[in-house]
Amino acid sequence: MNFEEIIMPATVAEAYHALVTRENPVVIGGGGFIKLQKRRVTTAIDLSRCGLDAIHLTPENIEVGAMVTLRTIETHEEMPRALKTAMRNIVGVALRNLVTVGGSVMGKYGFSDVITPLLALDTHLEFHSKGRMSLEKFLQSQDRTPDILVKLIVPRAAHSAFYNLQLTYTDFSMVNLAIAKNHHLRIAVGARPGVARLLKDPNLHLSPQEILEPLKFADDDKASGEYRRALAETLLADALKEVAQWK
Amino acid sequence: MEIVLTVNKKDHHVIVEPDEMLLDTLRRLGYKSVKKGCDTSNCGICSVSIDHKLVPSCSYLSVRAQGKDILTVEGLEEEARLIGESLTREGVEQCGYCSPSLVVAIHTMLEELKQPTEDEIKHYLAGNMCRCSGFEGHHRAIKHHMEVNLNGSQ
Repeated sequence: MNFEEIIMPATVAEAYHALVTRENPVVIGGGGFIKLQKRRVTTAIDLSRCGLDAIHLTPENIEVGAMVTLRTIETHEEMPRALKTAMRNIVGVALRNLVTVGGSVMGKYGFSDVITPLLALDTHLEFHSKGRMSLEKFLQSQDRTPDILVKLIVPRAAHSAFYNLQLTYTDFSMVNLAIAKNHHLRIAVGARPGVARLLKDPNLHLSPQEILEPLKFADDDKASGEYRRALAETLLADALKEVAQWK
Repeated sequence: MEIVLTVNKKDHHVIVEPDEMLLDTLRRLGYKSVKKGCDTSNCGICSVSIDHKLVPSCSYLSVRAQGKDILTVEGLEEEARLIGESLTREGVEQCGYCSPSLVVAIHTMLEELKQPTEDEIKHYLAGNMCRCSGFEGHHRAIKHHMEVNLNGSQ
C-alpha cells in the first residue's frame, strides 16, 4: 500500500475527525498489512500516538486497547489462556511486536488466530462513534460506516482453550477452534477459511460431527473444506475432553 | 517529511516519504547490516530492536520510529562479536544473510528472558528464517554464548 501523506493524531477524536473528513483515508493499526496490499490511498491515519496501547484490569473484564500488540497479549499474565495460546504461533516475535489486536479484529480476516478466541470469550468492542457492540455482531455486520476501534472488553472467562493445526510452526492455521466457559459454553471455529463463527451452548450429548454440522467449511490452497471439517471435528473432540475436566 | 532517527544512540536528520519503511531508511543511512528478505514481515531477516522490542523493519514506518531507540547489529559491538564467535565456533555461518538479524534477536531475547530454556529459545527465534537451515547450530551457539560469555563457565 502507498499513501501520499500520513497524519499522526494525538487523540482518538482527532483521528476520527480525519477519518470522516479526509478524502480516501486508511487507518494504520500495527501496519503489518501495508506491504501486503496493492492499493494507493491519499491519507494514512496512524493511531500509534493516540494512547490506545494500554491494558486496564477490572474485576470482571480485561480492557485491551486497540493498539496493544499480539506479543503484549501473549506475555500478559492476566490474559485468558485461549487468547495467550492463540498468539504464540502467529509468525514470529517480531511480527507479534508489530501487529495490533485492533488491526486484527478490524480486518475480519478469515485466517485469523486472534478473532477465534476473542469470539469464544464473548468479547465486546468499543468504537469512538458507534459505542459498544459484541464482536459477534461486528463480524456479521455489513455496516461500512467509518469508525475507530478504541478498545476490546474481554470477560475473564473461568476456563478457555485454543486448538489449531498448522503445517509448520509459524504458518497460518488450516483450521482453528476456541472454547470458553463462563456462565455458558461458547465454541468458535475459524480459518474455515472464512471468518470465525460461533456456536453457543452446544448440546454436549451430541457428537462433535453433529455440533459442527451448522458450520460451513470451504476449500482454499491450504486445505479442502472436507479436510477442514474432519480436522475441526477432531479438535472439538479434544476440546470437549478438556471441558469435561473443568469444574 | 523531515524526521530525526536515533540509531545506535546517534541522531540522524533524514527526509523520508510518508510510506517509507524503516528498512529502506536505515540502509539509506548506511546501516547495511539490515537486510531485505521477504519484505512482508514474515521471515525476520530485517529485524531490528526498537525500544528493546524486536520488530520487522520492512513493515515499520520510518515516521513511527522518530523518538525511539533503534538498535542494529552495528550498535552491539562487543556483544555482537561474542555472539558471532559462538556462531562460528558451532559452524553455523554459511551465507550469513540472516546473521545480523539473528544477533539482534538473540540480544532482545536475552534482555527479555534473561535465562531462557531451550524451548523458549526455539519459540522466540521461530520467526527468524535461515535459508541455509542452520537452526540446530543456532541453538548450540546460543547455548554456548549463554554458558561461556554470560554465565562465565568454560
